[in-house]
Amino acid sequence: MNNRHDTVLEVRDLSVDFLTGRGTVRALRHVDLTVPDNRIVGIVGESGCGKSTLINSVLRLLADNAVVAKSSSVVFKGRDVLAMSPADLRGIRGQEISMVFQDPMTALNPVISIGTQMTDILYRLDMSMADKRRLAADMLGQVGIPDPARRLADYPHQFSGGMRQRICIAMALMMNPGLLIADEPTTALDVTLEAQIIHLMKDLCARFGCSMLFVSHNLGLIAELCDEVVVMYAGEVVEQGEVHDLFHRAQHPYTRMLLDCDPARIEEKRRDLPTISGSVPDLIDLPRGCIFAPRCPERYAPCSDSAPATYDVNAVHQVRCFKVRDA
Amino acid sequence: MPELLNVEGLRVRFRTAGVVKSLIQRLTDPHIDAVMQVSFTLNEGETFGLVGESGSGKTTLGRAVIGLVEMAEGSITFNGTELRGLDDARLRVIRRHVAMMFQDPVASLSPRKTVRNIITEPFHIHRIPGRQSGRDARKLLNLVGLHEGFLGAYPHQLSGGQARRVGVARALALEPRLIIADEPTAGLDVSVQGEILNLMNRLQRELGLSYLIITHNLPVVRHVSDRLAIMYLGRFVETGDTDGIFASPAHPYTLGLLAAVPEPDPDKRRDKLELEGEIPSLMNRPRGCEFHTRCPFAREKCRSEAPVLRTVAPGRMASCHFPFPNPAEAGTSGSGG
Repeated sequence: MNNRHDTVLEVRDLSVDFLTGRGTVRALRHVDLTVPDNRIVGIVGESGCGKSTLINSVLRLLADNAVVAKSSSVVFKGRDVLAMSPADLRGIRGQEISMVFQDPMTALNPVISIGTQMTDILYRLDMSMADKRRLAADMLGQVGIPDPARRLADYPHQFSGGMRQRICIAMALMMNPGLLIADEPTTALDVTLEAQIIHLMKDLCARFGCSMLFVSHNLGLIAELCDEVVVMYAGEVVEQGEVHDLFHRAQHPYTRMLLDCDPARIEEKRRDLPTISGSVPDLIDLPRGCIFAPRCPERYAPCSDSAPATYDVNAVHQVRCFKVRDA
Repeated sequence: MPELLNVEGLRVRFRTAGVVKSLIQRLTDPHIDAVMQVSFTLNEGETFGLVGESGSGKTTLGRAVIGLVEMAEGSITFNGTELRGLDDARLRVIRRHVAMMFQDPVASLSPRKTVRNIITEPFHIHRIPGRQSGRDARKLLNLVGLHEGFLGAYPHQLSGGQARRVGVARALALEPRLIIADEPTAGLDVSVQGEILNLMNRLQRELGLSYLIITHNLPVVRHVSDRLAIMYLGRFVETGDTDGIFASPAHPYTLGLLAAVPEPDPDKRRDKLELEGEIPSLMNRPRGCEFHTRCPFAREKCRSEAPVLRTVAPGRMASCHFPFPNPAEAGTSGSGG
């Protein structure tokens, strides 16, 4: 991990606050995250866990009322993104780090043809328009759009939802980025299309030698696609580890309850489904001890006094829970 | 169990072009069939699941049952009364007994009304006097497990799960016998999803409700529905008992749908996909079996001859020339190929 070439993205001690009329929302607290070369890292968590704030921090797309703590660092291929000038940032966004958004309907401009939207991305390249269009057509072919050269003239509404997401993936990979961030890329799609898109992304990342940060609340997709998993809850990373280790030997009570809630994991048919009682804490007024303690069925004395640090289960698996320290 | 709803040979058509456009484009028939030849029965206290991808006609079918879209052919009988040709006044009386929970928990609530007004609005619409009181609103909120402090709240102040509960409360206002729930868990977190489904289950037991659940979420429908219909291009391609269908699907499309759901276990990754391609357009239905363009098992007969929905095992119907055999009768070798 110290070898710079093994790591594409390294987030250390990232804390982000939002200043609002109601008070300071402590959206992210001490987040550590590493994306190694050619690996797919999944971020899983429910609404409000800070997944979007995390990826927006990596691209420095946070709203104006956000305050990033001084101690935080986000290092992409040896360069500190948080200290970058706007010009350097423009060089990274869309070129070295690109993104696939949730909704392919709104990610594309409805009044500009696909061909123009794709060649626009290549504005920096010293290349003739004909070559740019050839490159765009080639990318469309690679993501499985039939008859790509002719379809460059078409507009987004002339494509189905699945095809639009394929186009977004083609656009994201056009500049051969080192890191692809995918924010719930299949939520708007049907399950058969979802499976197709996931397989496509996996194949393309391997082919282009690109790492991926895959954000989802769907545990099935995370298990299917990712090499490593980061579980977030209320602005903290509560557990992270290698995918098999995490799914088979989850340690944090929240991770275990989240896995138990997934109806796809419940073998026996049952009418009464498990839930996680209580609700996510108010991020303006945080509980004193462990962030999950108010909802945790396994809490004991130390949990309500102080917040747990991150403890190692093994070399590839870390958990923020006192039970692991005391085990 | 007595029969509550019976749908026979239902067809719903939408006009895709007006007179002028049809003349210009030389369309011989400017209609699409959103729902075709659909028949099913829902018994009292039962949950029937309608499953399909976008554009399969499941929402249109649900809306036709409550009379929100007109039927072109067929009949719908609710509690012994034929709905076809019923005038508005009599349809309104029937509609008291059928409630709808719409997709998207927050967007289906009027943003400028308070929770109190939202859940008592059915009383105004159906001109039921004396029921707009705060007491009825509080009773409804209680029933769905919400604190009465929410009475004055607006939809934007609610979380997804709370908004869904308000949707359930509104559906319950007129004490219906049937609730049509369109994607009741879409957009909710997994931990909240369970809460809503448990609430619906409890209400079913306490109030003797029947549910028609419209969803694309197979893991959810497996736990909540007694019987199931799988829709493709507006038709039922397979119907039967939920456990049976999940254990051994008869139609290749059902098999493909089940296989497309990723298992939350990294040891069970799939190396191949069962279903390639996308749903064809309703304007341009494939000849023969309408699924043959995506079916990995399609043979010559499938390309020329359309299968009919027929009984393939006790209590199970499928529209496929070569359905998978029932493991109870044959081996698990599968068919097709």
